[in-house]
Amino acid sequence: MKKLNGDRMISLFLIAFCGLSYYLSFSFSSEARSYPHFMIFCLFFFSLVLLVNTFVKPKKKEKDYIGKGKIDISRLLSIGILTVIYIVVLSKIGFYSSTVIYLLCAMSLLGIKNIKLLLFVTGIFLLLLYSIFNVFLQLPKPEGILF
Amino acid sequence: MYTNFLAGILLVLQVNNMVAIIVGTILGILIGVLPGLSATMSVALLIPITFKMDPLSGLCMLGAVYCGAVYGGSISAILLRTPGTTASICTAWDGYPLTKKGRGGEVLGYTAVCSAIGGIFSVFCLLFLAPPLAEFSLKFGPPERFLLAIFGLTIIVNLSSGSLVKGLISGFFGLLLATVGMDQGFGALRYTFGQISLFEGIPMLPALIGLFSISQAFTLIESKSHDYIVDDFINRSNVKSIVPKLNKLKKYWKSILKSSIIGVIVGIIPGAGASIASYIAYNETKRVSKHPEKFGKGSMEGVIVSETANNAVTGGSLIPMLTLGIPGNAVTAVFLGGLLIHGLIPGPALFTKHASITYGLMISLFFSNIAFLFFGLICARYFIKITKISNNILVPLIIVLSVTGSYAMRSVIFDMYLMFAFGLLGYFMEKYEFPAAPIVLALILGPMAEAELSRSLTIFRGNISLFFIRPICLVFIALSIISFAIPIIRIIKSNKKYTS
Repeated sequence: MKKLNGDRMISLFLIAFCGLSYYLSFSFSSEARSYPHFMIFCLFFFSLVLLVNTFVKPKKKEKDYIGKGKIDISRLLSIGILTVIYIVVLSKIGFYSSTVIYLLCAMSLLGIKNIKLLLFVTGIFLLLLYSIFNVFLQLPKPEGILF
Repeated sequence: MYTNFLAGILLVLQVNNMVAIIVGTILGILIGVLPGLSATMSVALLIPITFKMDPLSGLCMLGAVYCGAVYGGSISAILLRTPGTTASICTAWDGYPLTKKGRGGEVLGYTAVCSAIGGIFSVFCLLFLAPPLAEFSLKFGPPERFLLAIFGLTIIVNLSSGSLVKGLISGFFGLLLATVGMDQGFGALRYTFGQISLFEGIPMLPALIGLFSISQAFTLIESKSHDYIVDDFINRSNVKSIVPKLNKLKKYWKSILKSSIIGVIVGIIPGAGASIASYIAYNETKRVSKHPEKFGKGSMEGVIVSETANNAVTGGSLIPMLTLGIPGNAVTAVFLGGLLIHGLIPGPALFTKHASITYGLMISLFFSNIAFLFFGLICARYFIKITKISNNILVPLIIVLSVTGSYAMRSVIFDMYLMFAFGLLGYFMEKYEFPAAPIVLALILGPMAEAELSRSLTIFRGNISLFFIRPICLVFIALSIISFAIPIIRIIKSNKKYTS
């Protein structure tokens, strides 16, 4: 039942998304909008099919949800928010400084309490990153006020 | 040719060239393993390093990096479900479930061997069939490339093993996303919202990294339990246990041969890369398999065909590049730059005036494949130890690598946000059983399909009958219909069986 509600919500969202995309497409020239229109109509059609399917009596046995245990929303949210902060802060503070802070915070939030292990993993990983990206590949990285 | 062949072998066997091959292979594998660092980038980054080298040594190193990077992408795909390159997406679908069942070492062994087989097969095609295959590649114009893209897109049907409707929704959603950016036919900006970073469209790598790496990272931490079976290969001390037994490998000989041929053919088609070869080989094998339901859940055959095909592209893509100066894919386009820097112009002169270097380069690819086979088998028992690392340590490292990888291509902060957004999308798609692979396929093939359609209609003044009179087009139309119809018929039959 939960899954059907999810499918219903998603199909309604997609139908709304198609509507918005169609509306926005009128800012393009008529030649440039024909291809996106075709995709919008196809997406709309199949979203409608999905919506209809959620009301029709299910003919197929619902697959058992392959769960890996109860989902801990707090873990997901904390790492998600921390990752966004990391990306925002990267170009302000500097790549290596923000990466050190991120790794220490993320591993602690996930339950690693051993400080020596935290520092060891962070140190080794940063050394590897520096060797590969700076020394061998000389790839550009976000610059900030610190290193 | 025989004399040039011998001269090439003697040159390659020189110490400096063998060192270049070994170093290039190792670097290629390391770069390929890291998400976001593609084979194209690895070759591009190493070209300046080869400036000061002897031409053959420099080219040997570039060829070795190319082969190593394509193979290397499979390692992270199998162990972490984070494909190192787009060519290893299909490998992740079956390789990762096998790792979770405790067969990671075995899969790495098969991958190394089959990648080498595909690569060596393509080298032989390159050495002995280059001229006729190059002529074949000339027959591919915009109409053929458009229909190749359509054929590739029909694979979406086969990728929708759970729900066909959801698979098609993912596919068309991906095709709609692929329209973002500048329209290639008329130069109009679509859905960019003034964002300069989107003028060229949604970049492939951040989307791929987000959909696979970030979503996988979130899945790994969503609960505290660690559900890997520790691979018993870790406890064995010899390489023999990782090398697949010949009698087991022989079962797959038809699939390996077919995938090798697919890889070479796709490789010689300009504009089609290793990822397309991998998808087509996977799709074709699943379509004719007696147990298609096993694909996507831990089928060794799925891993084998994907890796054989993507490595078979390496030699194939060099055929039009060396003979005609037409790059087979993005990697060989960069490789062409490497050739020109050393004063080597593609074409007949490469096989006459510079024959020993050219043959040396082709033979060096053979040794590169042997090198990554050797390193892959030796190091597999060390690679597999990654699965013993706690998710609480692994996930932040994956996220940092993903962020770095998505920035590396264009040095644009926006790409990191895009990667994260696709990561969230991929995570929720998995929860609601929408396959993510069709989106990736659509992002790769959608722009190609639209551009080639636009070119075809421009060149042939809107005459669509051209798609039905050109022989290669007709072949692709037939293949597309078969590829589209057979999985649908299978689904309808299985639904009828269930309801009866």
